[in-house]
Amino acid sequence: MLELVDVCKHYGSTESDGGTVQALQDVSLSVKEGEFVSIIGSSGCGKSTLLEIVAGLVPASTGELRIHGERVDGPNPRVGMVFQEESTFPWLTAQANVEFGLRAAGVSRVAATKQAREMLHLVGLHGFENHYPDQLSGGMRQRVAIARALVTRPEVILMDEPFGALDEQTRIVLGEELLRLWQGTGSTVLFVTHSLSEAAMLADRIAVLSSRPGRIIELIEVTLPRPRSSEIIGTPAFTAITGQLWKHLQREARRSAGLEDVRAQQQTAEADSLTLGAS
Amino acid sequence: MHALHGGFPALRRGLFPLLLIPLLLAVWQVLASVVGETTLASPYMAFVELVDGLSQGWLLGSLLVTMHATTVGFGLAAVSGVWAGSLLGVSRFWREVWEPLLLAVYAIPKVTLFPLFLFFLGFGLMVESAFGFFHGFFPVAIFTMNAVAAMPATYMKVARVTNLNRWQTFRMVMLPATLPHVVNGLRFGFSLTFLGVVLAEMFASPGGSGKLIASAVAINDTARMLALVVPLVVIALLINGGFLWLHGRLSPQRAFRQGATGTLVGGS
Repeated sequence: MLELVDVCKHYGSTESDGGTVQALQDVSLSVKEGEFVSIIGSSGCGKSTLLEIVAGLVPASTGELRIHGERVDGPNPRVGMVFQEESTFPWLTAQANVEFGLRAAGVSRVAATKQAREMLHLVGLHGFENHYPDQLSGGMRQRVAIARALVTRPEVILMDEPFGALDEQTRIVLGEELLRLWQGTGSTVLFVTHSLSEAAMLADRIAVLSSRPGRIIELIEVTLPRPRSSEIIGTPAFTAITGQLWKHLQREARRSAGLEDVRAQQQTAEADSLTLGAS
Repeated sequence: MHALHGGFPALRRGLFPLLLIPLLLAVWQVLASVVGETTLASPYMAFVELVDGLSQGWLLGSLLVTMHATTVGFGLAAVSGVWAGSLLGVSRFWREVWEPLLLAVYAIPKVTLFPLFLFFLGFGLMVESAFGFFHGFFPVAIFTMNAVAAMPATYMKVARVTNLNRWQTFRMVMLPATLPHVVNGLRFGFSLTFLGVVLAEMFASPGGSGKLIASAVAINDTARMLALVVPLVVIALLINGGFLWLHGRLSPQRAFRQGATGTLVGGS
């Protein structure tokens, strides 16, 4: 349903400022309708850029994006997005924040009020309709942002580390809530994260991105049964997946942390001993 | 309890300045009797002069001249300041070009340039409004520029993924995000425009309260001077208070001032 074909992204004009920075290289990904795909990678691997390309916020340098086989350039009402940073509007109440997208799309006041109230109820913020963002906790504000993205019923929901600024416990609990919501809507989700366990808990498939330039180095199928809850954390099947993710990511993580030379020899030794042979 | 919680500080803020008035009057009276009433007129003498000014018409007439010039100057400063500030706020390049100049002109004592205004614009409303505008434009432009530039980039991303058109982006995102700061800029802009106009009137003007103040000072008529100064101060404070009130109404944290429940911590 959502297809990325050979998407590349580089920044900076060619010769004028000493070459370009390649952020993404030949990213191809095909996402089925209703699928939950996580994109994982170390910091600076271009995973946010990838999401912004799908959202139409930045153009791809080459390659294309298709939704239902149709080429898409630029923002699209079928795509909704939740950001990592604070994105609720502090001058609006929770209710008005959620109504925002509906009102902009021309939905009548009465209908927008009703839909926004229902959506706030769904994200567990019943009773907080008239609170302003600064009266809510970080997790609650992020749920308002999620409600705002979901209320227009987009077919594709892009989430750029939506729980990245929260502590781990809150993150797990909100992840569970997100699964519940997603199962109710049947939307397609692209979820960027750098947390191994978050990716394993939420996704049907996990795309592992290399550090700059970002390439998909592995697509991992998560076969854990649905519906899932946080109970699966720590089960052998779960840790097998996070372990597998780490195998692919550790070299990239070292590279992006500037540690690749420090233990280069050790690294090769480890890689040799791995039956999987991480690329 | 909530009403008390939110209402009381607001009430207190409104009342304190009022309580200061009798105190100031008392200080003024004491000062006048210490230095002698020929050096400083007592509140009573100023009051008599004020009543005289109202009955003779010179007080209201001169205040109207001042307010006319201030309104024209401030109107121009507000419109052009918000316009220029928005443009500079949006473009990093032009901001870097113009910001040093804006800040520099904002900082200089503009009264030193008054002869130039006089030379080009002559006497009257024109020069007063222009000099007022020259004072008021910079704070409005600088506040607006900073507000637009400091707006989180995420807000614009939200606007774009929500498929807002340009007008919706302006009305639903940029305007409410920056308005409290712009109102603050307008508040400073008004005070300075007012200052500029009264200064212009004091130096060279066919009329207006500034001119009357200057003439009163020249003949050491402190009663008349104070009868003019007091209404000017009241007008300035009222308008400043109006802007402050508007700023409070537009600020994101207004819910606190309306006495809603306090901050809630932790997910429910």
